[in-house]
Order: sequence, then C-alpha cells, then structure tokens
Amino acid sequence: MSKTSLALTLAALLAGSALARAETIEIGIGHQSTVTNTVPGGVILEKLKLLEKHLPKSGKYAGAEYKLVYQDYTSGPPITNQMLAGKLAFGVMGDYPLIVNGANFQKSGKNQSRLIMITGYNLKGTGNAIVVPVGSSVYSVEQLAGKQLSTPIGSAAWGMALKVLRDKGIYDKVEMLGQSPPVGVTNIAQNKIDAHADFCPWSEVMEFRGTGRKIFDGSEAGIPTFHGTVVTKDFSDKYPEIVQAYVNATMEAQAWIEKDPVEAATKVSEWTGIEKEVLYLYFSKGGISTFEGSMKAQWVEALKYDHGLLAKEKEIPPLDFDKWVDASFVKAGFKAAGKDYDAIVKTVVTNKPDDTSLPAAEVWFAEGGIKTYGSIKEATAAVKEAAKAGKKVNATYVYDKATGLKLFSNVAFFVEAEGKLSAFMKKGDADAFAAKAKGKLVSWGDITA
Amino acid sequence: MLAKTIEPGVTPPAQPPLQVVSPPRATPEAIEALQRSKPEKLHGWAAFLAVVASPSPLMRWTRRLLAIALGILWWHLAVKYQLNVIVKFDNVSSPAEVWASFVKQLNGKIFYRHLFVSLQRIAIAYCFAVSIGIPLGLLMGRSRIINDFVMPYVEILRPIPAVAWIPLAILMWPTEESSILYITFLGALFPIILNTVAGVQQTPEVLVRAARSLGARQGQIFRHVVLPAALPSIATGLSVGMGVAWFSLLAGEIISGQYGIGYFTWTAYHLIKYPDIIVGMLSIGFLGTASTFAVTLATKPFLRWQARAR
Repeated sequence: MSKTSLALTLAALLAGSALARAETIEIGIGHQSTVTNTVPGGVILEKLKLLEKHLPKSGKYAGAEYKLVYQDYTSGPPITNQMLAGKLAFGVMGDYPLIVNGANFQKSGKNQSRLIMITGYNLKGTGNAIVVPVGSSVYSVEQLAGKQLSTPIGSAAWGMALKVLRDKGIYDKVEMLGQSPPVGVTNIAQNKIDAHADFCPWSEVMEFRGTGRKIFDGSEAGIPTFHGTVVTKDFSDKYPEIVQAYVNATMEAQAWIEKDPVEAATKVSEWTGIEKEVLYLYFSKGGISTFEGSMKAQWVEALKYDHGLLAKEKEIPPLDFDKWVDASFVKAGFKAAGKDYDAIVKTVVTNKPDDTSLPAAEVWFAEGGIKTYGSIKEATAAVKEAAKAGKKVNATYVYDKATGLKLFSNVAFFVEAEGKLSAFMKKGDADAFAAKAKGKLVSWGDITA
Repeated sequence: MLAKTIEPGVTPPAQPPLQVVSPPRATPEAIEALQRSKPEKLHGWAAFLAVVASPSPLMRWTRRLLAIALGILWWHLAVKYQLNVIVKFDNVSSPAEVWASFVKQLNGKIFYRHLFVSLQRIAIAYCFAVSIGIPLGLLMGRSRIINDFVMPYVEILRPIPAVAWIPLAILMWPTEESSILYITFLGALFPIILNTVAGVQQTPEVLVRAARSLGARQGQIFRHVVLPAALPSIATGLSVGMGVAWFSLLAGEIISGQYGIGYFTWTAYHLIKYPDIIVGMLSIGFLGTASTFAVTLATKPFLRWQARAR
C-alpha cells in the first residue's frame, strides 16, 4: 500500500469512526423465501440472525447501529424495482432477473449493480421444469404442439421454455401465456392449463401435492440454473465491509444446509410454508441444488447466453459482464474460511446416473425420520411394512436411472426387470429401458400395494 | 349566461348589466356618461389574462391542453434535473423516452391487440354490471325487504379490492377469460347498485304521494315518477362504475395472459421496462377517460327532462 493511500485510508477510518458514533446504517435485503435456491441469502440469514454475527463492529463501524430490513418477494423484478429506487441494497434472485437487474442499472447510467455471489445452483438446469396436470395425456414436450403453456415471463423457467420450444421446432405451435407461480400452480391443480413452466421449487411442489407431473426437466435444456446476490455499487463502495459480512453470513447459511439437510428442510419449511419433503429434495446429498457461492466460469457463460436471449426477445439493454460480475467478496470469504477458492471455483457438483456413492432410495417416515436403502425393492418393502403397521410415510426418494436426478417416488415410472426395480423420471425413458431389458412398466402404487 | 353579462369586455353598452333597477332615462347625457364608463381597451397582462379567463369552449380546451403541456414540461424538467425532494425522479423515464416507446408500440401490431382485448373485456363486463346493477338497485330502492337481503352483501363485498379476488376467481370460474371478466364486472357493479339505490331513495315522497292521489298505480308511479327522479344518480353510478371497471381490469389481467393493456403493463414491470410501464398506465388512463365520456354522452338524452325543469 502506498503512503498516500495509507494516509487516505487512515483519514477515512478516522472520519468514519467520528461519523459512525451516531450513524444508523440501514441494510435492505430483498429476497424470495419461497424460491429454494435463494434461501441462504435471505430467509436463513434473517431467522438464524447470521448477518448480525458477521457485521463489522470496529474501525469506522465502531458504535454504528444497524437496521436490517428483510423484504420478501415471490419473484425477482420487484426487488430490482426497489433497488433502483434506492430502497434496498441487496437483492437475491434467479439468473434471468439478475440480468434484467444488471442491465437496467447499467442503462440508468447512475448507480450500478454488482453480482457478488451465487446462493444455489444446478449445473444442468434442474429446478426449472415443464409440468402438466397429473391426469394429462401429455408425456413429452412435442405433444404440447397446439396447446397452451404458461410461465412467469422474464423468469429462468421462461427462458428454458423458449429454448426447448425452439429446439424442438414447435415454438410457433405452442401458445405461450404469462402466469406467475401461484396462478400457474392453481391452474395446474384445476386442470385449466395444458402445461406450466416454472422455477424452483414449484414443479416439485406440484409433484409432491400430486397435482402435476413433469414432462420436461430443465436439465434437458442443458443451461445451468442458479440464483445469486446483487448489491448496488453505491452501497458496496460505501460499506465494503458490510458486503463482505453479507457474503460470509450467506456462506455460513450454505454450510448450515449442507451440514444437516433434514434440519434445514424442516426449519425452512416452518419459515416459508414450502413442504419440507420438497425442500429436502433440493437440500439433500444427491439432491437438486448445491449451495456454494463461488463464481464459476459456467455461470458467467450461462448468464451471457441468457442475456442474448433476453436482448433478442425482450430488448433488454446491453450488459458489461466484466464490470458487473465481481467475485472479489466471495473470494475473500472463502479465504477467510480457510478454503481454496481457486480449486473450488473449478469444481462443480452435478448428478450422474447410477451414482454408487448415493443410496438407491430414501424413505422419510413421519416418525423416525429418514432411512436409506441399498435398493428400491428394500424401500418398497419398508413402505409396505409401514403401511401395515399404520405408520405414515412422508415421502420416498429415488434416482432417475437415465440422469441420476433425485425424484419423488410417487411421480416416477418404474421398470421391473430381472427381479430388480429401476426408477425413471420420464415415461419415454422407462418404456425404452423396459423394451431393452424385457421388463415391465409399473407404478409406485403397484409396487407398494 | 349570467357569467357573460358581468364580463366587462363583452357587455354591450346599451344593455345595463341588471334590469331589476329601472334604467335611467336615456337622455343624451346619460348615454354619453354610459359610454364614458365603458371600460378602456385592455393592454398587456390584463388583456392576456382576460383571454385566458375567457369562458369560450375554444379557450377552455386551450386551457386543458395547456395544463397537460405544463405537466409534461414539469415532468421533463424533473427528470432532467433529477428532482429529489421527497419524491425521486432519478430513475423515472422522461416524457421523450415514453413517447419513443409509445411510437414503437404503435408501429407494432401487438399493442392494438392489447388495447382491443381490454376494450372488449370492459364492454362485456360493463354490460353485465349495468344489466344486473340497475334493476337490482331499483328493486332495492323500492323494497325494504329486498334491500335488507342484498345490502349486507353489497356492503361486505364492496371494499374487497380486485387483486384480493384473484385466487378465488381462478378457482371458481371455468376459464381465465371468465375470471378476468368477473373481477372487472365486480368493480363496475357496486357503484352502479349503490347510486341507483340512492337515486330511488331520493325521489321526493311528495311527488309519489301526489301521483298516487291522482290515481296512479304502483307501476305508473315507478315508470313516471321514481325512475326519472333516479336517473341523474344512476347516470353518476354508470360513470363511476366505468372508472372502477378499468382499474379492476388491470388486476384481472394480471391473472393471465397474453393480451390486454393490464397484462402489457404487468409484463413490462417484470422486465423492468419503465417507459412501457408508463405507456401502459397512460393508455389505461386515456381509455378510461374516453369510455367514461362515452357513458356520459350516452346518458345525456335521459337527463334532458331535468335541464328543462330548471
């Protein structure tokens, strides 16, 4: 550090500490408690009071009073609106809304926003999905030709739906409607819409409630999906230590989920109303999301792709990614935690078929918690036994043999071949496997009856 | 007309402003005096103000347009100099930006579809509201029993905002379109009912008794006394109902969509496109004003008797 900058820093510190004595610093955080990938950056911080633990209390912050304002939304754009209005400093949102945020801040030519960390991700894009009413005769995207598909416009699910319809060449044949998650979920339950594309965790919520069935998983589109935190540049220039505290606290929240997914799912469910069985599907080992904050090259690539789509379809202004993506805080956070950022940023967790490091099935008993099984057969036996004893089973989890994706058993397709059971997310895959292995297609209801 | 006679510039010298007092005898001196007392020709600001204050329809329209122009100028300046006094203008789109996106929308086809779909929804929902609201209001106004049965519903349901209806409207109605129409219909319905009831109840009892003593039957009294007396109030209800229908429509169009000016505005919000949001807002404002005006025009013939009575 040069002499002048040292002097300036000291002067700033002194001036800061003089001011700080009476200063109340308001920290506004806009989050989405019902959107699973964002929970470490919002609702967990709020409920476990993690941010308070990390906020700076010395130097220019000595004696400063903090006023934490958590605002809960069901989608990203209203948070961006609040941030542009200068009412919130931090915003946690999904990939597409993040871009809309960055691009609009940049366009304003005044205050800017910075993407500082990732709160949760899935490399292949699971989390977004297209769901049909459970009794629908539609089993693949191709069958949607001539039908209606609703999705929250401008969301990650919308981007995925656009891509898949284009890829399959049926973009002109599907009528696309804008519907927010609560509206779409109700319409699926009421059988009033042919299909609904939504982001995490709504597809799994519909599956768990038994109202909807996935016909397309985001992983098939092959574009990562993730949520992250943006902060206004004004705020991060003025209070970099607070931004660092936020990043460190969010990393602690992420570690909290990983350490005990059952506890995390139960608690977050109490706070948000999303079913704990659905949250466990996301939180658990081998589950849908990984809660790790590093700024991987894949994320930036995906954001650039998403931006291209938004610019083309909805005329979103340009975005200078080099300025907007700022990994310095998350790097410092890993360093402070004694972890090797450079190594972590290069590794990415993803599901793979027939992963032997994971149990074949997990059963969540209402009393007794989660038990793991080496084969689906064993799990079905346990479920049958529980039914006989009048014990309630909350949920059973299996893995898609085609992709390794974790699934609820009640929506999976099973193939019985050579005395073994295999699970599939999609009927097409199950049919193909059954033909190959000379097995027969069975449902969860059949094998647990 | 009275206003005109006290206007100094236009008072004909031969006609004294008030004829109640007997005029002085028209001696040549008196005429001369009168002529001398005629106001001098106005100059400068005074002349300008006289023109500005002129009650001619042309001037009134000029003033209205001027008011809008001043508003737009103020908006432009507030954005340009980033006014920040309680309300902040630093991220608000300028009138030029809004105009640019408006022109862009006009050049596309889809915007007209949005407008058309909304107008169509308003027309349908409003027709239902009128054909249910007016008869119901008349019955409630004349019958205490019907009033007692219906009024509690009106009073309880009326304060519920349109957005609060969204979840139930989706559940209850078979299609998206019918949910939207229902929400719009509710918005229009209550002002129409309440104003109709008020109009009926305001009928002077003296007139009713007079008609009855002249041998009019119940139906005749209703047709010739109550209905005409209630018409002005019903007309007010129809105008207010149209206004409320428009802002309920916006809530309804959030439910679904593809088309509709409310949907257009809502989608623009989700992509943080402020100019488009303002285009949507102003379109709703203009369409709302135009349709309220249309209602006023349509009800005018029914109110003619009232103008004669004055």
